[in-house]
Amino acid sequence: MLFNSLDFAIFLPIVFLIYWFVVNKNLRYQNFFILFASYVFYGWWDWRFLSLIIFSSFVDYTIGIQLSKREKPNIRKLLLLASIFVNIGFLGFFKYYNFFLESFTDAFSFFGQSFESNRLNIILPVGISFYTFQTLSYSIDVYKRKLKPTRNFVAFFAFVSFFPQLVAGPIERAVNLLPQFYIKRKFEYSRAIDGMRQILWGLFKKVVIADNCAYFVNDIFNHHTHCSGLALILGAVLFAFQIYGDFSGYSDIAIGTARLFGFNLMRNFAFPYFSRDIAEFWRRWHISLSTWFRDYVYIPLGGSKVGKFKIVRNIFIIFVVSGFWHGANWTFIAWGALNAIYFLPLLLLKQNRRNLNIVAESKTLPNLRELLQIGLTFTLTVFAWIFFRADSLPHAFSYLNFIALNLLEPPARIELMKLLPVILWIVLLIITEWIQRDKQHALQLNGMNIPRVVRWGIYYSIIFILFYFGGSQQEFIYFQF
Amino acid sequence: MKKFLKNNLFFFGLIFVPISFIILALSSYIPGPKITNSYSYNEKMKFIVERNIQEPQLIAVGSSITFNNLNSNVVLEEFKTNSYLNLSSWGLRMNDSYLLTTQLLPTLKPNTVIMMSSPVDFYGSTIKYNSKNIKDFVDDKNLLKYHYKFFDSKYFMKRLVTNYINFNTNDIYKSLNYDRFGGVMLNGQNLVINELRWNQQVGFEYIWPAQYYYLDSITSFLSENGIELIFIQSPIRAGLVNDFFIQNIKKHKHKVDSILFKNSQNSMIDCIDTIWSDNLFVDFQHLNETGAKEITKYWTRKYFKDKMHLQ
Repeated sequence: MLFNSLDFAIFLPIVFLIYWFVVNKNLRYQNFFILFASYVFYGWWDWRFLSLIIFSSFVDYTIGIQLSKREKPNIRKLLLLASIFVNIGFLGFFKYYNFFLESFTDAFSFFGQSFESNRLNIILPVGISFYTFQTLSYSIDVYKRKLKPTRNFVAFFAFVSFFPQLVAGPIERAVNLLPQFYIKRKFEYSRAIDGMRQILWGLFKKVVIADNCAYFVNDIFNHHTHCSGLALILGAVLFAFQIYGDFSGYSDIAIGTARLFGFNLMRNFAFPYFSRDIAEFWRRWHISLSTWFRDYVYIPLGGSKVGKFKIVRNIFIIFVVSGFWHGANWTFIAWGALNAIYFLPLLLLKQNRRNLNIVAESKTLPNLRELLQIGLTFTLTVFAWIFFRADSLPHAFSYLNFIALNLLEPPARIELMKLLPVILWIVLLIITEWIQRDKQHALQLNGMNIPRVVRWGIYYSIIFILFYFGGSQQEFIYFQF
Repeated sequence: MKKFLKNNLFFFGLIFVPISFIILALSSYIPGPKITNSYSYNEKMKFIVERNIQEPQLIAVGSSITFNNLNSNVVLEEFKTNSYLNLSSWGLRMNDSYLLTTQLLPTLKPNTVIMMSSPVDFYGSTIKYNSKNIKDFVDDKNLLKYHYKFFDSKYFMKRLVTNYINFNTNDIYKSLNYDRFGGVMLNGQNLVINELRWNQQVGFEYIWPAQYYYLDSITSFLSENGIELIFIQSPIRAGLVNDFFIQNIKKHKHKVDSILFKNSQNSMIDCIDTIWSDNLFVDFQHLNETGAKEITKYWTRKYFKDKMHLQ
């Protein structure tokens, strides 16, 4: 079920009303209903893949209990490995089987050997990368004794499949989300209202920004050999806004929806395009994934408290693995490696924690230095996005080649009259997010004393823009991950 | 909670109440489900479902040429039947007609298929859809289900308003003011709908060779199912007929005729063998109501004469 679909527009109010009016008396009922609604939400796409979530939940639930019973380090390690094997095994099979097969075949043929390979027709289950990481974090935390294993079967299964964040995150940690399933949720007016606002802004980013940008981005990337250099640069910039609108929009809707049900999910985006360096960008972009890799991969490898060679190795590992997490394609690996190259100088020069505060804090506009820093960071990010968006590495290199070759040609293939409104919406997005950059989301109006008429005027305007200027419905990009 | 519900009801009520009034007021113009990216095609599918004509004897399939240049009343008069359905729509190419024919005709079971065509029908395709959805929709006949399945709020509201215009006019291309059988007459003597299109030439260079294979498949499908095909070559306005057109249309007609012959269907009925004056047209190839009547009479008489001759 897509957040921007009629199905969800009907599903959400029904689930909301039953949750707060029928099953609100008892915590077990609340959790059971959340679990039921989550399975309906996921099964709407393909009910057959529910078995995967159920199996994955069952494995980690059982392993969690076994870990609490066992004291011998070897057995505990074995249990953890079993959890990793099952979760990564599912992910590896559904997502990476064909990639490895093709890469091996290519490698063999490169050395003049022929290798018979049978490509499988595998459907990638929606959200598998997200929920496997979520359950995995539970087993690791229990193994490290950071978290007590749960014996509440329904709460654990509901935690794994919680519908607002099931298919595209934020990837929640058990330490944050699971305890929320132990306490009966009470309705809080201000939290629910703020959730509604966050959903509205998320829809704006998805339907107006991402879906409209998608039209141009697809056209430019699919016909890049017929485009001028400027049009190609524009295509890459628009993709930067498309992926931001798409993914942060999804996260906003997920977080806002969870708030309607009395849950607090972790923040996933913190206005990343206002970052002054790449380190700051990675503290603000897909926070739930980057902190996951930091906590479960980077720090166990020694983090930055090791020798320089190992620091470089660790940085490359987490960025490349993070790129590979996005998809079984060399383009994602290149994207990850490129970000590692951006990040390394900052880390080695100990400049990576230079910009921890909000840019131009308590000022209306950034100063020239900040503006240049933001511009440079954005440019580097856009360059890396070309690899992320390209279908293959040759496609990415050809795209870059055509930028250089046709740089001075007038921008052909761009329908200016169609592009102008998109630019207008992007400008509106940037201005709104800049003004609200110290908040959790751009439509957080709590405590701002804005009269109701004005507030409602803003909401109605956004709804009008959504319906009148929204792009044609596209799937969320991160569903494929 | 009460405050939250009250505020939300009021907030969304302010949106939904006026929209509901608009929908109610324009209820007869509710657009067809967005099964394809062509509103004209969507409306035609809705028309077919709503009319629910059981097994019509005669079916017209094709593009805007069949849609606008075929006069339903003359067809009924000449064929002496009331069992007729015009399935054609703007922008359909041969590949679309092929899908429509193979998907719908086994259910509709006509005796005869009429296809009025111009070389433009052989250009590259522009309409995007899944032909299975069209078949399922026509079989299911459940408008609500398909409105839900293909719901697009923006499309729905936009079309609701524009349908009000399109269903009440005959002097714009977008006219969807169907007669009882699904045809549309572009009326008004000396009405030139679009200056650019008035002077447009047939772009023989845009013809996709693959479209001839689609015509071949249509013809062969109809022959296999014992359905007669009447293929009519529609003319262009007299003012545009030149040597270039004559040379190229000759080649085109030859290709079409050999396909029809190969599949043992009637020969093409050629309407280019006579001059059609400019005042019968609304653009380079679409006829006005008078033109549609005249040309329908012209080819039907030719058809029956040939038939009698054969008997």
